[in-house]
Amino acid sequence: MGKKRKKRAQLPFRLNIIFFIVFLLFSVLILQLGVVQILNGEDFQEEIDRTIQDTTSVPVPRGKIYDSNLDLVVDNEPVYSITYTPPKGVTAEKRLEVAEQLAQYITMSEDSVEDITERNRKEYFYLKQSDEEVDELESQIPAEEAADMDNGEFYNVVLDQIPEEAISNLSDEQKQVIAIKKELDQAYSLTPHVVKNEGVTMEEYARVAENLDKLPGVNATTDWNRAYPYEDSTFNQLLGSITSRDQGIPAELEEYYLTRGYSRNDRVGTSGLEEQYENALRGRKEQIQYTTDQNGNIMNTETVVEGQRGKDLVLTIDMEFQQQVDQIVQEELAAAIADDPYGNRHLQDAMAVVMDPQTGELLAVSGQTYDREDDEFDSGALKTLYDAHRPGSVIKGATVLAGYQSGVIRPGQSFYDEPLMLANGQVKASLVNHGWVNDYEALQVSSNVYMYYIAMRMGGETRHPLPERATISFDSSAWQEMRNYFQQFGLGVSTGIDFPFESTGFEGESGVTPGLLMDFAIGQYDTYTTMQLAQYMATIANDGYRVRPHLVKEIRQPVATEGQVGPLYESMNTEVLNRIQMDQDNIERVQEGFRRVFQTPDGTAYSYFEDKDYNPAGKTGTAENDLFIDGEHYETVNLTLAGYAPFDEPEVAFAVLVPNMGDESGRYPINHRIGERIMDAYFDIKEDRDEEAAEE
Amino acid sequence: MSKKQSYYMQTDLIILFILLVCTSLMAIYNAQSMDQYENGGFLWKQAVWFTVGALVVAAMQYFDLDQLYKASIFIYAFGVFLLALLLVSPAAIAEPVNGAKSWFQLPGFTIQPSEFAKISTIVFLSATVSHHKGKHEVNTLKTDSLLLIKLIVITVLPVILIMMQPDFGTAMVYLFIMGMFILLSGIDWKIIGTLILGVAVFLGAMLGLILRFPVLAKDLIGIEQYQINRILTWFNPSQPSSDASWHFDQAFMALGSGQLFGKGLGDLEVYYPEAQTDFIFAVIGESFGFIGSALVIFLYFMLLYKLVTLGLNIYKHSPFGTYLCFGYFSMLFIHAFQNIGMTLGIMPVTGIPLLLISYGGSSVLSTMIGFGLIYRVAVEGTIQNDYLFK
Repeated sequence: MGKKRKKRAQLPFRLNIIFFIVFLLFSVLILQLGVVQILNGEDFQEEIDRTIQDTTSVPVPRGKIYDSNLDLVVDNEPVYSITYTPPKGVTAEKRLEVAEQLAQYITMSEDSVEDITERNRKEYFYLKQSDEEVDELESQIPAEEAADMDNGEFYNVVLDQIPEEAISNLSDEQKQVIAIKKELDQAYSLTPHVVKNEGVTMEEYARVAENLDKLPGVNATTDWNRAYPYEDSTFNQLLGSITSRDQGIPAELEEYYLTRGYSRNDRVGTSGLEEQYENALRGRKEQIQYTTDQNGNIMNTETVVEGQRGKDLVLTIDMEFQQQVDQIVQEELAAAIADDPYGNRHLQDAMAVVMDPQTGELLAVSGQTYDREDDEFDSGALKTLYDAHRPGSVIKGATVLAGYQSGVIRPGQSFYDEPLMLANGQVKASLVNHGWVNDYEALQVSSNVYMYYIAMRMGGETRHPLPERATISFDSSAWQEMRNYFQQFGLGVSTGIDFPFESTGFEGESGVTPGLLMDFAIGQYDTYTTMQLAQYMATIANDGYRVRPHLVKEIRQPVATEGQVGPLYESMNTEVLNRIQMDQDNIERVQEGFRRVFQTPDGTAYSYFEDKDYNPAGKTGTAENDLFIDGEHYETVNLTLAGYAPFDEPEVAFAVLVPNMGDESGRYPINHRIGERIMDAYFDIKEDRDEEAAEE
Repeated sequence: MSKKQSYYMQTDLIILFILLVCTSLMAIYNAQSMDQYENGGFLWKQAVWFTVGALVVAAMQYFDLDQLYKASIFIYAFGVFLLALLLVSPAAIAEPVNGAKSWFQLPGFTIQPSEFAKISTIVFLSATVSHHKGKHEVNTLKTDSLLLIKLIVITVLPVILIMMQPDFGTAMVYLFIMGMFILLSGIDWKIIGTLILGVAVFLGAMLGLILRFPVLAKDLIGIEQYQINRILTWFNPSQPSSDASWHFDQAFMALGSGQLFGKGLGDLEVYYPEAQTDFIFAVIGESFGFIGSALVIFLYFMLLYKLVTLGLNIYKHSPFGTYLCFGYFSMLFIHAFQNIGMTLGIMPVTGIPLLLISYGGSSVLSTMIGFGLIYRVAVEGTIQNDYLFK
C-alpha cells in the first residue's frame, strides 16, 4: 500500500516541479520581453527611423560654342546607349527573358547579328526547349558516360546533340534575340555592360526608357559627344578637347577637380577653349538626394540642386571669314610649294591672325601645315600661338618708336643708308643702299641701316656716319631698354589671349657688342608668335593702346530651345592692357610710314595694295632663318606681313607669318599674297553684309 | 442540448483554441503587410488549414481512447514509415530545401512528415508508458530500466531518420519529449540521474568539440557549417555579419521596437525573412507590443496549465490519456519556449515554429491532430466525472 501511495504521489510531485520550472522559464521569457521591448524599445525604434541620405549627381550636357554670327561651331550630339547590369546570380533563362523583351524595342546591327556563333544558336535552342524535350536530348547520352562528366561537360555534350537543322532556319526575330542575349551573357554581375551604343535611335532609346520596369537590369542612358559642324576649319584646333566619360577628370589634377565638385567620371576640357572656359561650359550638375531607410527602400527623392546645361560661348571668330582665311592660307601655301618645290622644300607652315585692333576680338585665326609624306594640309592654327619665329622688318615700327621715346632720334630724323663695316669686318646693310632716309622713308623702303643707327645710339654710339671698322662703344643696358619698349607692344610678353597656353617667344642672349642689338632692331634676333605680331600691329593701329586679344565675345545662358541662344550672361569687354609710352604725334609718324609701305610707289608692299580702296597700312618683313637639319645647314627666310585698315579708322589688323621659305630671289611672295587676299576677303564680306542689310 | 452533446463542449479548450487561432491569423495578416510577402496568400491558406484541422478534430471524436491505444503501434509505425519513405524518395517529390530533405512536395501543397511523426511518437510513447504501468504494478530498478530502454528506442528511431534529413532542431524536440516521458513515467531518480549525467557529459563534449574544433566536428559527427554557425551565433549574439545573425538582428529590432503597446495592425517597419513562420513572434511583438506578446505567452501558459490539470484528472481513468496530455504538453512547451526564446535572443536560432500560430500546413494540421487527441481525453474525462458524481 505504502509503495503504491509513493508511486501515485510521484506523478504530481514531479509534475509540480516540472510545471514550476515551466512557470519559471515563462517568467524569464516575459522578463526578457520587458527588457527588449520596454527598456530597449526606444533604441530599436530610433535604429529603425535612422535614415541614410545619399546625394547623386546627374551630369548635364556641356555648353555649345557659336561663332560671332551665332552659327554653331561646337554642338552636342546625344549618344544613346542601352546597358545591362545583371543582378547577382541571374540565370540564363532570366537573361533570355530580358533579351526577348528587349528585342521588341531595339534592333541590333547587322554586324552583331552576323557575329552570333553556332554555340549561341544552340544555347538559345536549348533554353527554348520544354523540360521533356531537354530530357529527350539528355537521354541520347549514354548514362555511364554522363556519370563521369561534370555539369559543364555534360552541358556541352547536350548542346552537341542538338541537330544542325534545328538551328539553321532561325527567323530574323530569333537572331535578334540571340544577338542581344549574347551581349547580356557577357555582362558581369552588378557591372553595367553596353548592349548597344552605336546607332541607337531616339525611338529605341525612348521605348527602352519607357519600359524599364519590364527589363530588369537594363538601363537607357545618354552621353554627349562634341560635334563640329565646320569640320575642315583649322580653328577647330583652338577649340580644344574634352575627356571621355571613361577617362574622367585628369588623374594629375584629381584633387583640383574633386574639390570643385566634379565626380571622377566627369568630362572636362583639357585643352584649348574647352579648358579655358571649363567653368562656363561645364554647367551645373543636378543633385538628387535619396533618403533610404534601414532596408534600403527609398523614402524620399529630392532635387537639391536643379541641373543646368553648360553656358554657351559666342566666339569673336566669324566662321565665314575664318573659312575663307583657311582657304587663302592653304591655297597660297600650296602655290608657294608648287612654285618652287625644291627651293621651298623646308616650307611647311603658314599662319595668319586677323583681329579687330580696337576691341581685341580675333576674327580669324588660321594656320596650315603641309604634310609632305601624305601630301595634305593639316590644321596649324595652334602654331599662331605656340610657334615663334624671327619676324624680320615687320617690327621696325617698334624700333622707330623706341628711338623716338629714348630720345636718340627726333621726328623727321635722317640717316645715310649705306653699308656699315663693323670693327670685326662684318658688313651690315639694307637690301639696297637707300642713301639719305628719314623716319617715314626708313619704314617705307625698310631701311636696315636706319634701325642700326637707332640701336647703336641707344647703346651710346652717336657717330654718324659711322666710320669704317670703328670700335663702337656699347652700353649693354640698351638691351633692357629696347626690350622694354618692344614689350609695350606685346612683343616678347604674353598677349593675354583667353587661351590656356601661348608662347611668348624666344629671347636671345643679350650680347656685349652692338651687333646683336642691331639684329634685334630689324627683327633678326628674338622670336615672336603670329599672335604677338598681330597684337603689335593692332597696338600701333589703335593709337598705342594694347588690347587683349580674345576668342570669346560673350557667354550666354543656356536655353532649352534648339537653335537659339539664351540671354547674355557675361560679355568680354575690351580690355586695354597698357598704352605705349610714346606720344600720339610719334605714333602717327609710324602710322604714316606704314601707310607709305602699302600705298606709295616705293613702299615694299605697294605693288599688292596700291589700288585697294580700303586704305591699308602695314609693314613687310623678311628674316634670315638658318635651319640646321641633321647637321646640314640650310638658309631659309621667314616672310611676314602685318597691317591694318582703314588707315584713319582701323577696324581690322592682321599678321601673316610664313617661316622657312627658300632663300632665292624672285621667290613666291606668299606673305603679300596672303595678306592681300585676307584683307580683300574681309572687306568683300563686309560689303556683302552691308548690302544685305541695306536690302532688308 | 442533449447530455451527450454537452460532453463534447469543452468550453475552456475551445476558447483557448479560438484565441490562438485569432492570434495566428492576425499575426500572419500583419506579416503579409510587408511588401516582400505580398500575394503570398498565407492568411487564407492558414485559415483553410485551421478549418481542415477543426474538421479533423471533430472527426477524431468518433474514436475513443481505447481504440487509439490499441492502434498506437500502427500509428507510430506509419509515422516512422513516412520518415523513411521521405529519405528514399526521388527529388521530384522531395526536393531538398536549404540542404534539408524534410518535405514531400506534392502538387499544391507540401508535407513535413517529421511534424506528424511527432504526434504518432507521442501516442506510442504514451501507450508504452501506460501499458508498462499496467503490467508492472511495482517498479523496480529492473522494470524501470526496461521502460527506459523502450522509451529511448521508440524515440531514437525517428530521431535518427530526422537527423538524416538533416533537421537538427526537430530532432532535439523529439529528444526533449522523450526526456519528459522518462521523467514523468516515474522511473527512479537514480537511473534518471545517471542518464542525465551521461547525456550532460556527452553534450558537453560535443559542444566543446564543435566550438573548439569545428572542422574536426564536421568530419566526426557530420554537423553542417550552417548548424555550427547557428550555435556560434547563440554564443556570440553581438557578432555581426553572418546571415543568420543579420536575420535575427532584424527580427530582434522589430520585436523591440513594438515597445509597450505595439504599432497595431498593418504598420510593420522592418523586413526579415520567415516572418510568417519561425519569426512570427517578432511580428506579434512589433504589432502588439509588450502587452500583446505577454498575453500570447500567458495564453500558452494557460493551455499548458489546462493540459497538466487534464492529465492529472484523467489518470485514474486512463493513464494513456494522461500521458497523451503530458506528451502534448512537452511538445507545446518546447516549441513555445524555444521559438519565443530564440526571438528574444536567449535561445539559439533554429527553424522551430511557434505551434498553432506560425504559418505552415503540416505544423498546423499535426498540432490540430494532437489537439483532437487532447479534446477526446477531455471529453472522456468529463464523461467519467459525470459517472462519478451521478
